Amino acid sequence: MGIETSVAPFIIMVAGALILPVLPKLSRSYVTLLIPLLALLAVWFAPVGINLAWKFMDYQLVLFKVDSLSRVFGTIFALITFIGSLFAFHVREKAEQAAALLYAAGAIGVTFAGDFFTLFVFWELMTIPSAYLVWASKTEESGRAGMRYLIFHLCGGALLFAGILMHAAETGKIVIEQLIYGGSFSSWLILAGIAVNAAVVPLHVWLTDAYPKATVTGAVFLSALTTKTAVYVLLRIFPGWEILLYLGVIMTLYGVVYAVLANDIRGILSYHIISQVGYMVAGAGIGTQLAINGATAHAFSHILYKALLFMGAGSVIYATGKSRMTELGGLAKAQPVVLLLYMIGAFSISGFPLFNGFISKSMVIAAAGEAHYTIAMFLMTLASVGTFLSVGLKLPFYTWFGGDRGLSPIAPRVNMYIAMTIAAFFCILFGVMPDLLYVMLPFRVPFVPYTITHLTETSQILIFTFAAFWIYRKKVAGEKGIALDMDWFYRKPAKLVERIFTVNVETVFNMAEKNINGIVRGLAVMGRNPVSFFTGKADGSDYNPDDYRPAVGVLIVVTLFCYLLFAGWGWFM
Amino acid sequence: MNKLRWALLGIVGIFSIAGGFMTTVEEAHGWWSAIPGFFALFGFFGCLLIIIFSKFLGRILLYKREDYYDGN
Repeated sequence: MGIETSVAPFIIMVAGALILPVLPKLSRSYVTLLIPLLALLAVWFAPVGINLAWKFMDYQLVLFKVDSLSRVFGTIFALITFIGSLFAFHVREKAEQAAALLYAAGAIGVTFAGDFFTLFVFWELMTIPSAYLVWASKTEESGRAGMRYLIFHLCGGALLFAGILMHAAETGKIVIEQLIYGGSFSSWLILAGIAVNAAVVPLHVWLTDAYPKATVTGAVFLSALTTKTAVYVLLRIFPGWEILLYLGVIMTLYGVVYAVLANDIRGILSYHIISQVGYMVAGAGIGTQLAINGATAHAFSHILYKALLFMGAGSVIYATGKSRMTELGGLAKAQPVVLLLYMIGAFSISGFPLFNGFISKSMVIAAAGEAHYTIAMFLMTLASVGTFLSVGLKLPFYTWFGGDRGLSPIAPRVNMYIAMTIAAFFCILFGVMPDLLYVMLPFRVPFVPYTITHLTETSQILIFTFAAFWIYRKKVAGEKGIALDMDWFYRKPAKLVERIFTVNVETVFNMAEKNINGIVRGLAVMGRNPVSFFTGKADGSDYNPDDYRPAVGVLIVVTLFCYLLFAGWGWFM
Repeated sequence: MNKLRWALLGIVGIFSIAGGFMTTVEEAHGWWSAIPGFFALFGFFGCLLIIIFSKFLGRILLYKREDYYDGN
């Protein structure tokens, strides 16, 4: 193994992001394609084990450690960065291009981190570039949402860091390893920090708040990286934490319910990130080998089809400038290819046979059944009904069909089509040949997705979900307005908080300032002529010592005279 | 949705339900395997349940005007 075979992929990514801004304009887009491919090679050719470590004070920082779990995640992160960069090939803003690469560098760095400090550094590296992808929309809305996103993630990062410090103090170790369920407080702090990024309900709002407001191209990276990095960490550190099973099942259904209410097309997709990540979180909670494999495979599939869906929705927004279903409709004639590619993503997320969602989601559900979590299994199956309803039926129906709203869309760019085609290709490839994915998974557990039972069950669900949708399709049409979510708890009281901590504090300060100024002014006036305070003649004239010299002089003379008189009196007596 | 498409969908639907009878004993996971067309019913009523429950929640609590947070 030579040096060139074990270059840490994050070094390639960071270096790429740093040199990008100084490159000539036209070459930058090519570099954004080249860098993730190099990183992908670095991921594949790196040998298992610790490839890069650094002694820092008393600790061993492990910067690049490879095993089968991290290799799967590293592979898909690099691949999706390539596809996302291709989708964004026409973007000329170097800050956005560099932000995407840095963000991916953070995600890949987390994946191969062998100790908690390294993990934390890369964790934080993801935060600001990803917020920038929201800000890059340059609307007032995206500015505010990006700031909320940033604050949310900084709080999550603080929880994580507090947990890491406590963990290091308790155990004296910073090496990343499985933590014991329900153990120390520090484990819970770390879990809370990770849960923020995994969009675990109720810590999920940053996602559905910010992602729909990100740039068309930035949202593709966002949809792939942050949550799945957190899923990876959950799988690595918290497998078998039963609470994650319950949280995960709640997530699958929570996303489904809100997606029915959502009107913004990327809002629907964002809520279905929460729903899909729920399966992975549940897989981590079950913690069996099949469940870990299932969660890993589902993360892999999910990144591909979710990026494809975001690219499809992004193409609609790019072409029309509109993102709400109430303003969209009838685009099928103008965008048949976008529709086709989107539907490949939609079939995948809905778990149609021959698409990659089928071969991975079923693994998590089977793992729940095998571990005798029957209720969880049925609830997750119910959530998959809702996924097909919102992403596979409602969104495409009211975007490309439904009433024609006389939109005149411009054509999406060629690179956008190519990127979507590549993602669609992989969605089908892994759906048709699941073993290509299964051999990469961390455990050797036999799993056969294509059984007659499984096929009939799935097709029954899908066909009759479609029937129910078709009968009641008017009921799920987009509605103007927003659906309140957990952000109500901080956005609504924001006015109150502002009142208490800004307005009221300011009032007190103003009062104090006014009173003190009054006192100072009074003292100043008095200081100009203190005598007037006693005489009551506040004529405003300054103190002039000459005015009082004769009177005071007489007084002193009289006093001295009296003194002499009394002294003489004593002398002669 | 023209008649041809409905007919095709109906045929696939019937096949999928018929296929359910081919579940072998070792593949049967629980009581639901014994109910023919269980997952067809699950899909249909599950879909309805999700629509009704979500919209109900929206009506009584969650739906607000778009400028809800800008107001006051």
